[in-house]
Amino acid sequence: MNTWRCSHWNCAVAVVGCGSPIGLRAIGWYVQILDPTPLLLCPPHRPDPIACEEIEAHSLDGLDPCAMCAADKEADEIQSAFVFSDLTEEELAKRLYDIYNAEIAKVTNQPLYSYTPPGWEDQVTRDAPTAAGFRAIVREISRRTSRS
Amino acid sequence: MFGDLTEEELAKHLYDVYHSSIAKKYPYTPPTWEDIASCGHPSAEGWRALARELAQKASRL
Repeated sequence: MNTWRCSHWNCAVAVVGCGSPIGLRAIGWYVQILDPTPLLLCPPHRPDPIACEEIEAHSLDGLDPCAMCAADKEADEIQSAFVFSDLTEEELAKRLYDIYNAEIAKVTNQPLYSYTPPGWEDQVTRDAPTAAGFRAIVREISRRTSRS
Repeated sequence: MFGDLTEEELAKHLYDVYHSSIAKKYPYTPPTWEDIASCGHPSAEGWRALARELAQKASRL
């Protein structure tokens, strides 16, 4: 698997995929294969941006779904499916821990900066029971996934 | 993956897996899922968020 990042200086967008980055064109990216580093620009940072309205205006009845938006939505879904399958067990444990804490911060109506649970790294360093608990959940997910 | 469980059952399952793992190392008796779920404890929402996330991923994989 490769992680491709937008080449724009102020953009953190990244996508995960197999093989050459040329396939990013299918999801609206601007791709120029340059040596040694390809120029990759996510849809909002293309040098030739295409607005949804322009695409829709060219369709015969004006009701066609915007191909760029449809591709973008599909790309989001594919990316989110990768999110778990591409993580190591330790990374997944951290991600689950973060999701858990973010939700608690939300329901207790406290911004994350005021609700400050220990970071995952702290839990690991202290060999805290919490880390063991979340790792057990990851093992359970792996066990279930391998069965299904 | 967890298709046989409802979201609430999955949240309880994750909670139980988590605490039984800890209990192996540290002798303690955590509150039951029913206790924390019925009193609206914030951690119950944390477990439900995990259950939602996992159910969502499972449906896409």
